[in-house]
Amino acid sequence: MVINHKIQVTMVLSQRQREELNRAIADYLSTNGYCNALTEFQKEADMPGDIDKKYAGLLEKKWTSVIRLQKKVMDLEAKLSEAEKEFHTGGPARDRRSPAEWIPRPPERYALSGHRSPVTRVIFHPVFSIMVSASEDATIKLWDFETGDYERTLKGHTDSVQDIAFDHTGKYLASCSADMSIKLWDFQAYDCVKTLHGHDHNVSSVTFVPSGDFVVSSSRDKTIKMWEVATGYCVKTYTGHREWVRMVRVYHDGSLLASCSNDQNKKGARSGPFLLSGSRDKNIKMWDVSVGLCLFSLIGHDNWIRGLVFHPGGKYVLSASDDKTLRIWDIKNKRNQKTLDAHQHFVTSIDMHRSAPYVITGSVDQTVKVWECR
Amino acid sequence: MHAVPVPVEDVVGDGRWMSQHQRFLIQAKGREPEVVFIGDSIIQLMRFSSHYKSFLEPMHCLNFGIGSDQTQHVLWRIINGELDCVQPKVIVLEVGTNNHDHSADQVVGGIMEIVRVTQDKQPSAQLIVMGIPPRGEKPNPVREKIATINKDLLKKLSGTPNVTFINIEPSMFINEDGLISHKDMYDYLHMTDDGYKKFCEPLQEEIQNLSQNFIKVENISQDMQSINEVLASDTP
Repeated sequence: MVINHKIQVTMVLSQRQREELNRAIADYLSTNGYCNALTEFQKEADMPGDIDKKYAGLLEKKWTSVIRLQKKVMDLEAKLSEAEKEFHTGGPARDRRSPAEWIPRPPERYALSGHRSPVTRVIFHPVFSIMVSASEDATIKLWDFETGDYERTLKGHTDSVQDIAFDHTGKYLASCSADMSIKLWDFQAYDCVKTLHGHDHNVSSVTFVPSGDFVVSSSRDKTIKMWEVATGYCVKTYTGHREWVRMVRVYHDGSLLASCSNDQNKKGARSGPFLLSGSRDKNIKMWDVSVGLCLFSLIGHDNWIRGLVFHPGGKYVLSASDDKTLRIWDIKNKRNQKTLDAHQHFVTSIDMHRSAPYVITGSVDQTVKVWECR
Repeated sequence: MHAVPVPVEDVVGDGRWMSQHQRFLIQAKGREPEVVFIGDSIIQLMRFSSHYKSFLEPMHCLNFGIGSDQTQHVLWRIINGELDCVQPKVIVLEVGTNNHDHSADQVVGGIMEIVRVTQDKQPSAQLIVMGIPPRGEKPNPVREKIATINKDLLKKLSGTPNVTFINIEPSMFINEDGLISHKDMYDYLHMTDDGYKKFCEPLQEEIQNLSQNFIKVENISQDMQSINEVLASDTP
């Protein structure tokens, strides 16, 4: 999820803006007694001698406007959040919308506390009405997302749990941690059945291949490893990234691995379909992996992107960000359809159920929230 | 000694200073902050202010302030690892108000040594040095010493590459009668939430300028044109 795109920042002023800026500079020079500079400036910028009163103090005002705008935006967002809490039907009536258009609505159905540190990842169980959260408090917690009940805690890791994943049957959960290990948990007995050692640093991502026979992990040690579930052995190590490999995911037909890294590269193993990535540059990008091209960008978040998920209906992308919001993006029109103020702090993770109308988010505020879609 | 690194002696016997230092080392190893704050209680308590939570926390910070620290203590902490594993864009330093046994010159010397060591450890980070805020309800000799320190730092640091000195305008906290209000500093030394609002504004602006990251003001990597449009049409 963490890729930094290098983009040139160029400030482009229109002719009108340039003239206005010159006049504001002239007023500033005049007001502050820089007479010689003013005369020369007016000559070189080819400006009339007298300065329109409307530019009085304009440069200083514009100079401080960023701070003023930020404060205003903060206030407005707080007011909007309050207003939305009182009026939570929002949008056309439920029966007039198809399930493919059901999106999460505030306020949250449940806000679940229990973790004693930031929540790093939240995922749905593929079969049961269970969701699982991982946290920097080194535990994994299970919750019923329909009732909001806490079910149990899986203990065993000795440092922050960074990522969790189910195999497609939901019989096994894989977890990886800053303690450099990967654990496999039996989801019937809720036991840790294997601990995989081999990475030399924080393991930040883990996922099953579609067959469930292998797990793939990525680490701050710059490698990706493939592990055989039956034996617990590491059968392959992929090198190639020059920095921490933040995340790795497997394509649904098993043919392709996607990984992203602090070295700002993404790699696809072979030609294939589409990949969605989110980055610390605040952008979400859609890529055609076969040609390695960015098809479009989704812009709007104010901070690092931390989680992405496709809406099962295929029309939307949902994202979670350090700007404390959950956003819904219309893929066809490439725009931010809706923004929810989701948490009190960075939102670190988001998942959407493949068939039931629920979205879950996890946050540095140590809570897990369940959102109903309608 | 103001410029010789020294840890705080555990006179009381509860080891709190070392516990905080150890916690900072763990945080420095595990996290990826873009802004690191380091200094005394003025830095430490900043993280509980609403301004910090709204404007500074979103920038991905770590706060390594410890109350009562003097220049030689902050120096020791930097030399002993607190800036080792991180790669911040900006480092914010504020220290000196607790160096009661040292002259203004010595405090300046201590701060300059911290600047030197910090730039050595983090040559590509932008360093913001904050002036020391005034203290005491009424005019007093400590305020004069602080004013001398700030004036000297301004002279010594202007022109230093990668260092920005943010001076404290006396009028920020001192009114026309020469008094500091308890509404800004509840004990005439430590700031209230209102006090921090005033103190943090120039700091926040500078941090954003240096890291080229303006929160809540449209995604900066693209779309700067629409921002210019908005700002240019903002009526005064």
